[in-house]
Amino acid sequence: MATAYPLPDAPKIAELLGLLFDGLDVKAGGTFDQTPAGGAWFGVFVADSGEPVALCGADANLAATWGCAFSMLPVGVAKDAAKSRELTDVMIGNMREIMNICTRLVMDASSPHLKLDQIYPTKSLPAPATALLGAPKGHREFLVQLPKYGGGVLTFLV
Amino acid sequence: MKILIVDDSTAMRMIVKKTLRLAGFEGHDITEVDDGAKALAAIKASKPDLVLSDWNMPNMTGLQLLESLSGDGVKLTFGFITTEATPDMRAKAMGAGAKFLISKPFTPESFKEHLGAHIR
Repeated sequence: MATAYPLPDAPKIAELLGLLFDGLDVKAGGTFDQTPAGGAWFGVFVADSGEPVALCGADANLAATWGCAFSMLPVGVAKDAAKSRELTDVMIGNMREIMNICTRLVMDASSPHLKLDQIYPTKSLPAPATALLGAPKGHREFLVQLPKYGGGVLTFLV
Repeated sequence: MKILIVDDSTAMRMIVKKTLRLAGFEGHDITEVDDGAKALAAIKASKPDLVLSDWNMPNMTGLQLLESLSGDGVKLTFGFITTEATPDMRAKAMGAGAKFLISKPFTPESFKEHLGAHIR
């Protein structure tokens, strides 16, 4: 079932987020752990009505990678964060910055306006976002890697 | 050439800087601040040649920044890089003295098109 909002492909993600991360590699594929215990983080994108219309999720490994790499925190800090599934306030702030940029990946010239509302760990997603997570009209997963840091799985759902 | 980037998003400032490089605008003295009020102080202190400003920012919007600079008689090249670019926004920007308004998503090509005449 089609929605008014597009799902990005790997080249589009690599082109945009490659402006933030040198050497970013993005390939279609991967299995996303969206269980509450999985440690993923989601950007929730809302329409002007406030209704969630798109989600972008970074699994625990990718959230730790991005949260650290954006501020060039040491690789070891990213590994520890991935293992503990706990992000510091700095990493969460970095994730919000990155998810805000990801807004451009779920919109195009013909899609209705949407904006990043907030980011949440899976276990704290508001009910309307959880509903979208459980029954999206479309979704795509990607394997994302950063030199030195490693990476994880990225998902978009609309 | 001294270029000041004004945007409350760290990520967007990074993207603007990288897009400037990809567009071939290298070797310039680029500084950045994260809101309009800081930009006003930075501009008066360091007198950049070109300001690339977001529209919506905390403390002072890009348009308020431009109007304040104009009111103080500060002469420089000022342009907006903003997510939304309605005809009304364009009219207000140009009316306040902006030289260009680049809407996101932008590309190195759109940077070349809009900035080529202003960056030397």
